[in-house]
Amino acid sequence: MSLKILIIYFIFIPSSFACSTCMVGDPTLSLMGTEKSFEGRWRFSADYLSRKEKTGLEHFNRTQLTEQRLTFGMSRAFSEKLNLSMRLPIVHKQLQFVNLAEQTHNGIGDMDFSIKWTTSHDVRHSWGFLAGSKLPTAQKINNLDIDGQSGTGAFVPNIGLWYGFYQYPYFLYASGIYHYAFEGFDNFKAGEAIVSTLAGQVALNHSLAFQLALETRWSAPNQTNNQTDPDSGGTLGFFSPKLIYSIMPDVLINVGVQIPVIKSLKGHHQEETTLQIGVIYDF
Amino acid sequence: MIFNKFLILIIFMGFLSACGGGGSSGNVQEGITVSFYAAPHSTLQTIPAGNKTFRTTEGVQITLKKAFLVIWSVKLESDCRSSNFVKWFDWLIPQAVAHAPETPTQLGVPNVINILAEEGNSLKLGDIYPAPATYCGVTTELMKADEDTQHLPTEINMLNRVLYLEGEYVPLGRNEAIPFVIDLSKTPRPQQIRLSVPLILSEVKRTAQINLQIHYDRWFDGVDFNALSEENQKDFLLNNITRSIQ
Repeated sequence: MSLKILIIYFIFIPSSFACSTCMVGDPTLSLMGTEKSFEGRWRFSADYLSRKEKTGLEHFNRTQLTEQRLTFGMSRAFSEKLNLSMRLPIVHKQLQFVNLAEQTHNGIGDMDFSIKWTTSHDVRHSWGFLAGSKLPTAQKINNLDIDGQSGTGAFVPNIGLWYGFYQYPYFLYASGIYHYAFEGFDNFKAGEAIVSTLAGQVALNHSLAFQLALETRWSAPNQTNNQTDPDSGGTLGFFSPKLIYSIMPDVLINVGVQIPVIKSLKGHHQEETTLQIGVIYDF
Repeated sequence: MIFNKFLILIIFMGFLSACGGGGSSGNVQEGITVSFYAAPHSTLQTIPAGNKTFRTTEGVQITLKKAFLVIWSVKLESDCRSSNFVKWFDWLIPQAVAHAPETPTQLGVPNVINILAEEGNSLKLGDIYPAPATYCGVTTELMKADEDTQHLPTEINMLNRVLYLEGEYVPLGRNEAIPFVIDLSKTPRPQQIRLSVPLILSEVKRTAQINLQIHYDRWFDGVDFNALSEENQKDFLLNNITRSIQ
């Protein structure tokens, strides 16, 4: 496989499911690519993510979540049209409360699997469907808040559409995915969400590419025991620049940030810039 | 063949998940906790549990045979300069029906206090988890009990009651005791109490206890017993009760 094709294939690095309940970006991109698949392709990825999230009023009831996660993923192209992938995060969380209480947790998060179906494609255009689900593989730690758990312990199925436009060295991609969360740990139910990705990239040379994306999420408020969390839900948009570099054939590394630019979250809730570093290996 | 490989992958990730889940670890470090307590307390002498007999400042002898009071909420204050932080007198606020919200500085769980209980044996009202700061006062609210109220007595149904008193008084210059029953559901103004020493909560000072004393022997000071059934005397009594919480 030529380096140029590799860059096109892997140019879009996944924005992550930033946390168990807040999902931004299209996680299928790096594992499955947006290009026409060729049968028998295996792909491995490892993505590190660091983020912070705050809810509540400062000096009153603020809670700060610091999260780091390492997500391993594998995908398989079963045909030109059908791709399957699975991802499993290892999560470290630190939850700090306004009264100086602190909860820390290390553990496996909720696994997710995705199916990507290419309905139609030609030289420049391609589109299709996405579907998948999170699986409740995280283990509940009894004395931790739901925000301190490594996952929500819920099935979260999703379905969506994607579109790609290809004209080397340029590349455009768009997707929209709907997520519905069932009830998980402690009767917690994440709000349904619609996540969109609009991205463009240019290959600067055969080993380096630059990507810009606008990733948005609208979500309904979360509920616990049918009580709505006033500091949840709303609309969030990230401006996401990334650099992708090929260090050797079949191996790409990427470094990017997600900068929150649309902040229409409900209640007292803010998310900070997210750092992402990843590696992708094709075999 | 391809599907076999993928099946192996699924099993591998499932195994990893199961093993990792088993290795999950969580750690909890407790933060600042303030506990509220309340107890009946006579201002002049310790009166044992049971019927409480005392005199008003006018010399009227009172004996309480049943006495229950509902403390609806207790709030820790960090700003005591506000104009609201004064002693209210002779004013009642409209009845409220909703629960006081539970916040890091406010205990929203109502409690029934049995005034005939042993003095000094404080009843725990609950815990709050405030931010590190310097706190100068406490605001208490009295309101009628609901189903969520703690320590509801069995002998009197305190639901929808703020105060229930049964007792008798001996007027000045007379020997015979006159019984009375006072049953109130009005909501008085909140009682705002300045702490004698500011409470400083910090990284090194993470726990504190605040004991509210209810000086029940001052409840009937200035009350006109001949007009005890009139609304203005009931309001006067309620204000005395509010002010008796220190």
